[in-house]
Amino acid sequence: MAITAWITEFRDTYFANATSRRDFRVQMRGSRSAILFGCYLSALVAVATIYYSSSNFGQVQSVVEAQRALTEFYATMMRVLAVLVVLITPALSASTVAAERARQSLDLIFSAPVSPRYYLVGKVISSYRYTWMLLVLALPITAAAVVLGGAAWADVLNAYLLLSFHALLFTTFALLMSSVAAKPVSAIVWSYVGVGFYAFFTSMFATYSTFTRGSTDELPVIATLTPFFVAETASSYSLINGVNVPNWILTGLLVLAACKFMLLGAAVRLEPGQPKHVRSLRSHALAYGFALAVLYGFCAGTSGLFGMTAPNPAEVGSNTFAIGLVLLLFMPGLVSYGFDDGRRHYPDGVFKFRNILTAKPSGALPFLLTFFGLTIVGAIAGQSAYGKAASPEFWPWVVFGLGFWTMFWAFGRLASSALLGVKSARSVLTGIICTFVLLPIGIIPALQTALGIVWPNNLWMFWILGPVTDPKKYGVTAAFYGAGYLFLAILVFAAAEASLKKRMLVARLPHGYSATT
Amino acid sequence: MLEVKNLRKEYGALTAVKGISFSLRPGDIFGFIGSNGAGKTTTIRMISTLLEPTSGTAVLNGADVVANPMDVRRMIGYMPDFFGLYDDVKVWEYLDFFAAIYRVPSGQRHDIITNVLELTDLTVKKDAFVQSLSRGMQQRLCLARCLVHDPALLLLDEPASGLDPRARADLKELIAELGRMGKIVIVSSHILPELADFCNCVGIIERGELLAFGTVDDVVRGIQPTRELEIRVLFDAPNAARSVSSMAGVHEVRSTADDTVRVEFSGTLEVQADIIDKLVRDGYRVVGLREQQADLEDVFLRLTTGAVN
Repeated sequence: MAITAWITEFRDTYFANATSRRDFRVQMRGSRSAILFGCYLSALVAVATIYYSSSNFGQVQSVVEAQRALTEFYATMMRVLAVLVVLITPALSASTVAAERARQSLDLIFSAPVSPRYYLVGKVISSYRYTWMLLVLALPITAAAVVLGGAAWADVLNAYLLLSFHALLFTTFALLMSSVAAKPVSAIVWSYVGVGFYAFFTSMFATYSTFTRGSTDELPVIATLTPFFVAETASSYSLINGVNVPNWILTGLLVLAACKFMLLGAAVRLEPGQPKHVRSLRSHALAYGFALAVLYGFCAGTSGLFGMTAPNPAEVGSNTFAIGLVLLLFMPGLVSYGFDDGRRHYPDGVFKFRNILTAKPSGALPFLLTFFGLTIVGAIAGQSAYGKAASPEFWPWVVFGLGFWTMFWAFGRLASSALLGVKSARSVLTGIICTFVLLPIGIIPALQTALGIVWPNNLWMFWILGPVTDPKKYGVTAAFYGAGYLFLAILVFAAAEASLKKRMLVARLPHGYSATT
Repeated sequence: MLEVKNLRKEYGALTAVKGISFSLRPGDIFGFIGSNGAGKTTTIRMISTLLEPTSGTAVLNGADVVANPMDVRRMIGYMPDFFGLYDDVKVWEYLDFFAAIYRVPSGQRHDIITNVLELTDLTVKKDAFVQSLSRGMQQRLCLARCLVHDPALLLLDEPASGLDPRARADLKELIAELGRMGKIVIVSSHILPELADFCNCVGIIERGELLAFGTVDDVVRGIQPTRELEIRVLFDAPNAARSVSSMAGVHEVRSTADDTVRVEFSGTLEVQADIIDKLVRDGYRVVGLREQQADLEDVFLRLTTGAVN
């Protein structure tokens, strides 16, 4: 019975989704789509023609040169497609949920027996299907490269797969932004900012990995995480435990995991009253953190998945800590509390392990420490699977991480206690994180240049993440940094608690701190 | 059967709904009356599972809004005080979309949409784009959307706002018909005389508190335990007043003009009949009779202060 219900739900969600059908009907209505497809194809044909005619193929004498020119033609066409994917996919999905919210139709949908999963999957399908239609429309142009001899069909297929994975990633990210943002314009802007950052950073890594590889197809998987080099990286593989694993498979797995995580985040935003979404999101975060750490630990002694030479133990510790840094993005949402957004965000104590998978403030520190603990355990487990044990240089980073996360948690408590609103507290904590973590990245090099200080005698040691810049040099000092952060965390926490009690008294809140603890 | 027990909603220090309770049976049309900010929409949103109550329960046919929200959603039709329509779809596509998300089997959708369009008098607009409909038609389309899955409970938040008198009359008739079909209908409105016409029970809410609940008569009687009768006689009203002043059940009698007697009494229609009988037997020529009864608006103004949260 349960299996039948699950099958029905699966079929309804993925194959008979009303949301995607409605969107598709609207997308294909009238002449709008035909005009868009026409313009798109014309632009592609124009680029291909201009590039082909400017390459002087007729004057090329050598077969090798001709082959190289054709390969370059194929790569250029794939890069044009990648640019289109980067530009079009966020536009297709970024405004969908935000527009529904602005139109006030979201309430109508969620007063029906519709789960956020059903709704979000429908939105992903409708946007992704449209992107696929654009990719398929471009097939004749890329096929020309195959016919001319610039690429093999297998390369084109792999490149299309990689592009489609990126399209899925951008679609889902834009959908997340659309669920988070209050207005369609904000959703579009933030989607492009996020996709832009992603494309920029992954391209930096890919450029380094791809163009320094020589003639081998063995590449770190990060090289395939950019859409701009799909032509070059489509046939690449990673050597894992002696087995050549195609990178498009690894990329696909990573993208699917990331998409699921982002959709869970979007579900939390769409149905904030439902604890099951928060539970699911947090348990996925813990599982992903652990899996990444195991993977990293496993590869730490090799030059496999991440394309690094074998790091020393201090670097392993530092990198294990760095895996969790992505949590900084979620810190304001995790630790802030307030009194203006329902009882869900009321202060309910300091440390309650049973609330680790809930949105309650008392579950924030247990969650942060468990996440960090799981990355430590994961990295050690991964290393031991490869026959290595954690060395003494690894442990100072455990203290460092403990201090780092506790300190930001305490800052979050202080921001929440000093302000009555959870939204204000989140904004202030975001400001604190930007000031201490991000701002120095720009300021310190500028100061060094102004003061004539040359690396490595630098100011980076004053940065909150200073030890991470040179783990080998800092060694055990990282533990002293961690202890310092821990001490600061205690002071900030004490101030936060004093402020909170005063606030509760002044506000005469009906369900106070002591009542719910 | 809808049972609401101690439903409460807090936003920090602000309590929007302060533990209200009521129960409704199939066929009940419940008029939910209150000023802006009184807590009507918050209550309706909690019953429709869109808002999580801070405490208390609302149970519809055995399904709790907090524990089984999906079961509740299958049984409700929620029409908010805004349309939330998709402009770029046709009327039948709009209804088909909602029928699909309510998991109405595709084979039955065509017939259901036809019936619902007929009920809401929108059949001629079946292939029209939603954006081309008038406000009244859009309102009816919203109601049609609420009906595609044959819900047991309809939650209509200010359904008559912005409608012209003709559209209001049509809507009123439609709601009454839904009540006759055995659905529970909760209607929130500011237009009190309209509610009195077709609601068989009302609730008055202010600052999150349900001040009165019951049938319109019960609620009126709740604030006005006595009844007032205005009797017109041909002559000698002061003496006519004296002749009935000592009767059982009569509290106060006064003659407001030479030909008018006002009698305030408590009791049933029997007492009223006795008063008239006495006047006739005493030789006074009764030419007119009117019962002065408080209406819903009087009750509302008497019970509420206009304060908001």
